[in-house]
Amino acid sequence: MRKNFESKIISSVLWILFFSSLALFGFQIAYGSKTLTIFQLQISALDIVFAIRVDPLSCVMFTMVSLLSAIVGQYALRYLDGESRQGYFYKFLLTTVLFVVMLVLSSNLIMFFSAWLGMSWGLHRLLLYHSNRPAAVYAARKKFLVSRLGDVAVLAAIGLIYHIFGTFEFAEIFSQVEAGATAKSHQAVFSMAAILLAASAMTKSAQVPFHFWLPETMETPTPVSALMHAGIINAGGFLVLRLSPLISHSTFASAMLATCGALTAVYGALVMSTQNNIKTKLAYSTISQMGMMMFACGIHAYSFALFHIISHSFYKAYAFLTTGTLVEERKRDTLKFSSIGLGFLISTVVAAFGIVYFANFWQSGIYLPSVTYISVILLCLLQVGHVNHPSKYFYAIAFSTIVFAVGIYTALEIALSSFVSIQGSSEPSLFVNFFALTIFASGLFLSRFLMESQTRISQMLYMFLWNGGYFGVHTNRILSRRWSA
Amino acid sequence: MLITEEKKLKPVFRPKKQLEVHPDNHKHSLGDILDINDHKDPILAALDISVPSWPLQNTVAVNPFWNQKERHFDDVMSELSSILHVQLYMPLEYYVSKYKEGAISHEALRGAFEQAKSLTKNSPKSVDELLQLSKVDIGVAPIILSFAEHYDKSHGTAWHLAIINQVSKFAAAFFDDAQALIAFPWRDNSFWQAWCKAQEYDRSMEILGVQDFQLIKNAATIEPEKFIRSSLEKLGLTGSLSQSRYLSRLIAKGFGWSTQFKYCEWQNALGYPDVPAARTVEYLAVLVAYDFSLAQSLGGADGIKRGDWIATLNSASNGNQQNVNAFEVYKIWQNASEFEYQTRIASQIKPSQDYSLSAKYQIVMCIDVRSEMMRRALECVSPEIKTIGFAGFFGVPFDYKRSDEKIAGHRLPVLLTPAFSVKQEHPDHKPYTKTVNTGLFLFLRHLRKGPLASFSYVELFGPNALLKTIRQVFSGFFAKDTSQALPARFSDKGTYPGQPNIDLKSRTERCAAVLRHMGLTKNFGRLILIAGHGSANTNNAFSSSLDCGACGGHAGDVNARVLVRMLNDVEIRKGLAVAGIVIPGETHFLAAVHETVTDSIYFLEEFSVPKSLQQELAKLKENVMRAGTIARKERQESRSIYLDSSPQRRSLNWSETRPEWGLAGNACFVVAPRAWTKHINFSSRAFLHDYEASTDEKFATLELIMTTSMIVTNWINLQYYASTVAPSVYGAGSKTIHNLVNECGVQEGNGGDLRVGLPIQSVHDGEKFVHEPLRISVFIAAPSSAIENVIAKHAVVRSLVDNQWLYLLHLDLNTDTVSRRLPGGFYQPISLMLAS
Repeated sequence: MRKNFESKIISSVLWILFFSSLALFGFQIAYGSKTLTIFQLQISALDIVFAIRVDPLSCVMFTMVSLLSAIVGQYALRYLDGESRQGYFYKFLLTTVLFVVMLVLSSNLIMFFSAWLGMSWGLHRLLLYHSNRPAAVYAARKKFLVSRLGDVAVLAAIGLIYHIFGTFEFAEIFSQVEAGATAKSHQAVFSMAAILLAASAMTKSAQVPFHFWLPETMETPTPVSALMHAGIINAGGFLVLRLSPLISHSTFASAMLATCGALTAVYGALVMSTQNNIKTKLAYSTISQMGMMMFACGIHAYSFALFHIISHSFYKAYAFLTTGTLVEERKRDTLKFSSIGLGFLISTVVAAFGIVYFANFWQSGIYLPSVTYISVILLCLLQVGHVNHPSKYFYAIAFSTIVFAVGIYTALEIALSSFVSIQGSSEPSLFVNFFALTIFASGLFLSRFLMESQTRISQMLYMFLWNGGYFGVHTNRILSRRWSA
Repeated sequence: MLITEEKKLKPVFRPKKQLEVHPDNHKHSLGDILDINDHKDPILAALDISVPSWPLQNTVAVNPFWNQKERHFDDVMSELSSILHVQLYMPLEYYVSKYKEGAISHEALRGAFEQAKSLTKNSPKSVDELLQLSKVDIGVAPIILSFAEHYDKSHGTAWHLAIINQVSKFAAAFFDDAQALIAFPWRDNSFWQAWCKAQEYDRSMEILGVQDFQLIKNAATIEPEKFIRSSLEKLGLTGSLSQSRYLSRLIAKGFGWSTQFKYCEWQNALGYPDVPAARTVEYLAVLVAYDFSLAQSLGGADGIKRGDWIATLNSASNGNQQNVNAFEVYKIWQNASEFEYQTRIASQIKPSQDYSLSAKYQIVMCIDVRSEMMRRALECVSPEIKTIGFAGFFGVPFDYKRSDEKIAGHRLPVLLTPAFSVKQEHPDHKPYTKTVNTGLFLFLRHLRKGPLASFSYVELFGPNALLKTIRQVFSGFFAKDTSQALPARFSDKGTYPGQPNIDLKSRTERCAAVLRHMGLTKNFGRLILIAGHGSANTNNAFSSSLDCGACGGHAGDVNARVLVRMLNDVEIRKGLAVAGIVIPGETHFLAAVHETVTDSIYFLEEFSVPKSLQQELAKLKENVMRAGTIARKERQESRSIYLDSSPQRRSLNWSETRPEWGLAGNACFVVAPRAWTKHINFSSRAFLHDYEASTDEKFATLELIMTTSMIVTNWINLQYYASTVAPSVYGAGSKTIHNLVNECGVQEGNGGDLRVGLPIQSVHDGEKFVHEPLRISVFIAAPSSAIENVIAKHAVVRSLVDNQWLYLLHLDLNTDTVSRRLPGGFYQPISLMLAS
C-alpha cells in the first residue's frame, strides 16, 4: 500500500471531529444550550467574540456534517489512491469542513460570515481539483459568480441588522426580536434584511434562478460531489433555520422562500426525470430537494425542513457514492407502473386543498405548516400509481412497508421537533400555503402529461426541460465572451 | 545470447509460396496506405475506424482496430495517429529505460533493427543511430482537423467541445431506456430522423451562436449517406483522400458513441432483437451536420481561413509523414520488446512426451491469464492434481435467463450465437419476478425515481440510507481475510439453472464435442472440477470487465454448472459411451468458481457429490485452499506494490478503484500440452490452452482454437494495448470522475463523449503502467502444415497473422525449435526449446 500519511491523518481527524460532535451533543443534553466563548477581540468600537453556540440546532448540524465528512474522507482514501492530487483533495476537504463546522457553531454574524466565505473558497478549490479540464474551470466560475452575489446579499443584510439591533450576537438579536423591541421606524429595514438573507440562502442552496452552476460541477471527483450535495449545499437552509426569528418576521421573505422553493422543487424534479446521466440527474434531484426544504422554511415548517436536510443529506451521499451499483441494478426486471387516473388525481388534490383549508382554523392554525407539508408529501406518494403485480400479498406488503416507514418517520420527526423546536415569529398565510400546494399539484399533472402524451406541446416542454431550460448554454456563452479561459 | 544460437540454427522454411511472400516483398510505406484509402469509399473508410463496444452490464474486451485488420498493424498505427493526434506506441523514454534496465536485451533490439532494415529504407542505419534518435519523443502534429477544431485553433473558442456535448446529448437520449423516466420523444425513429425532428425544438445551437442552424432542420427526408456527400461537396472537400481524412477525424472526435452504434449493428447482424436498429452512418451524418453548419455560419466571414483548412486536408502530408524516420524508431522499439518477451518464453518451453492427464483430481479452468497463477499453485500443492486450460464458457454457448432480470444474458463469446437457452429455476417452481420481494424492490425504485414521488422517498427512506452507508463503511473497514463464505453473486439461494432446451441427442453431442476439444476422452479422475471464473467486487461499474470474456462478460459459474449437470447425467453418459467416451461410474464432475479478487475457488452444488467421494472432496477442498493462499501471496505484488494489502477488503470495499488487475500484463497465448509449460512461471501473463496435436482428428480442435480463442485473446490483448498507449482515446478515463450514462456506459464529468475501453485505474497503479503493451505472441504446438491450413482457410485469421496484429510462433517438436511466423508463411527460428 501507498504511504499517503497526509490523507490518512486528515481522514482520522475527520473521525475525531465526528466523535467530538457527539461529545458536544451529550454536553448539550446534559447542560442545555450555552454559548462557549473561546476568545474575545476588541477592535476600537467593535467587540468581536469568537464563541461557539451550543444549542440543539447547532449540535444536530455539527453531528450530521462531521459524520458525512468522515464518511467521505474514509471513502476517498481508496477512491483517490494513486491520484497525484489526493493530498490537495484532503487539504481542502479539511479546510472546507472546518469552515462548515465553524458556520454551524458560530454565535455571531461576524463568525458566520467569515465561515460563509471560507466555505465557499474551500469548495471553489475542491471544484478545481481537475483544473486542467475546461469544463471544471467553467463550473467553478459559475459557482464563483453566484456565490459572490450571495455574499453581497449576506453582507448587506448583516449591515442592516447591525443598524437595527446594534449587535452581531445571535443571542442578543433573537432576544430583542422576541421582546418585540424593534422600533416601528425600523420595520422596512428589518424586512429588507430578511429578504436579503432569504435571497442569499437561495443562492447558496441552488434555488431557481440561482441553480445553474450546480449541475455542471461533476468535473470533480465523486467524493467532492457527495460532500457538496450532502453537506455544503445545505448552508442556505441552515442560514434560514439559524436566522428564522429574523426571516420569518417578514411575511414577504417567507412567501418568497415558499413559492421559489415550491417552484424549484417541481422544476428540478421534472428536469431530473429527463436526464440521461446519473450525476446530472442527482444534481437536479438536489436542486428539487433543496426547493422542498426551502418551501418548508417558507411555510414555517422548520423542524420538517431540518429533518429534510438530514434525510436528504444521507440519501444523497449514499446515492453519489454508490453510482457504480446502477450497472447491476439496470439488469433487474421492471414491473409496469401506470400513472394514476386523472379523476382520482383531481379528487385527491381537491381533498388536499380542503384539509389545508380546515387546518387554517383548527387550533387557531398552529398546525397549518405541518398539515400543508404532510399533504404535499402524501400527494407526491400517489405518483407511483398502479402496479400490475400478480401476487395478492404484494399490495398488502407494499402498503404495510409504507405504513411502517411513515410510522418510523413520524417518530423521528416528533423526536427531532421536540429536541430542536424552531417557531416562526409571524402567522403563516393561508394564501401562500395554497399557492405552494397548487405548484406541487401542477407538478403532478405536468409529469403525468409528459409521461403519457406525445403532442407538440409535450415535446416542446420536454426539449426545454431536457436542456435544463438552456441555462447552461446561455451562461456558457456569456462566460466565454466576458471571461475567456 | 539467442542471436548467436539462432545463427547455429538451421532455418526451417515451410510454405510452398515462400519466394513471393518473402518479407522483403512486404514493403509498406505511407504512399501505400494512401493508395488503399483512395480506393475505398470515404464514408466506409471513416466508419472502419470504429468498432462495437458492449454495455457495462456485460462488457467484453474489443480489439479497437478490428475493422482495420486487413491492413498491417504498423500502417494502421501510423495513419491512425495522425487522425487521433496521439502516438499509438509507448513514449520512447519508456522503451529506452527498459533497455537500460536490461528488460529489453541488446539482442532483441538488434533483431528488431535488422528486421526493420530489411523491410524499409526509412529505418535508421545503425543501432547507435537508433539510440540517438530515441532521445527525444516527437509528438504528432495535429494537422487533420475538423472545421470546428480548425476554427477554435485560430480563434481561441471551444466549438469542438460544444459540438461533442450536443451530439453526445442526443445519442445518450436516443439509446436511453433506463435512466430517464420521461423518455426522449423520438426514440422510435431512426437516429438521423430523431435528431432532425428534435432540432425543430432544440435551441441550443442558436443560443450558442450558430444563427442559421435551421438549414439543417429540413434534412430529415434526405438519406444520411446522401446528406454526408452533399455536405462534403458544399464544404469544398472533393478528393476522396481529404474526404476520408475529414470523416475519420469526425468519427475519432466522437469515437465513444460511434461504438454504441457499431454495437447495435453487430448485435443486429447476429440476430439479437433487443437492440435498436441504429446505423453508424447516421451518427456520422449528425457529426457532419454540426461541423457543416458551423462552417456555413462562421466560415463564411472567414473565407480565407476555411480555404486554409481545406488546403491542409487536401495536401498529401499528414501528421506523421515528415517524421517517417522517427516513426520507424517506435516500431523498432515495440518489436524489440515483443521479441524480447518471445525469446524469454520460448527458451523456457520444455517439450515432453508425457501428455497423460491421468490424475485423481482434474481441474478445468479458463484460459484466462489469471488462471495461470492459480493452476501453478494447484499443481504445486499436490501431485494428485492436474489442470486443464479451456475457453471459459467450456464449449457450452447459451442464453441464460435469470428470473429477476429483464433479458437473457448471452453467456458465450461475442463472436458466436447461442446454441440453446437455459432458464433459472426455483425449487418450488415459483417465477422469481413475481415474488413479493422483487415487487417491493421495484416499487421502492419507482418511488425513488418518480419526479415528485422522490420527495416522499427521501423523507421516508432517507434515514435508511444512513444505515446502508454505515454498513458499507464498516464492511470495507473490517473485512476479514479468513472469510470462506460464498460471495453473494455466486450464491443462487436455492435456485439452479434449468435444463438446456435441446434434446438428449444434441446434449450428448455437445458433451462429446466438449470433452474431445478438452482432450479429456480417457483417463478420467475421481473428481473433475469445472471452474469458471468471476470477480466479486463492490460498487464497480466496470465489474463485468473483470469477468470471463469467453462468457460474454459474465462470470463463468453458470456455464460450469450447466456443463457439469450434463456430464453427470446418466443418460448422457450412456450416449457418450456409445460414441466411444467412457466415463467411469465413480467419476464425478463438480462445478466451481474461481473468484479472482481473492483467488479463492468456491465449490458450487457440493450437495451433488455422492457419499463415496466425500473423503476426496474434503482432500481437494483443503488443497484448493492451500493453493489459494499461495496464489494470493504471489498475486499481491505481481503487478504493483500499491494494491490494498487485503484481498478481502478489495473485494468488499465500496470505494476501491483497483480491486484487481484483471488481464493486465497479458502477453502470450500458449496452445500446447500443459506438461510443456508446467515449470514456467508466466506470472499471470499467459493464456494457456491445453492442446495435444497427436490426438486431434483433422486438426479440428486446432482450427477451433485459432478461430475463436485466439481471436478472443487478440481482442483482449489489443484492448489493453490501446488503453495503455492511448488512454485519452481508447481508454475510459478516470473512474474518479465517471458519470454513468443510461446506466450502461460512462462519460467523464459533466458530459462529453461516451468513454469506452479500460479505465486508467485498470492499467495504471498511480505511479506507472502495470500493463506492458505487447502484441500477443501465440505459441502453437502443432505441425506447421496444419497451422498454415487454418490460416489459408480463414480470412480473419489470415488478416490477423499476416498483418501482425498478433505473433504466431511455432513449437516444433521435431527440431526442438521455436520459430516466428513472418507474413506470408515464412518461419524464422528464434530459439531452441529446453531439452526434454
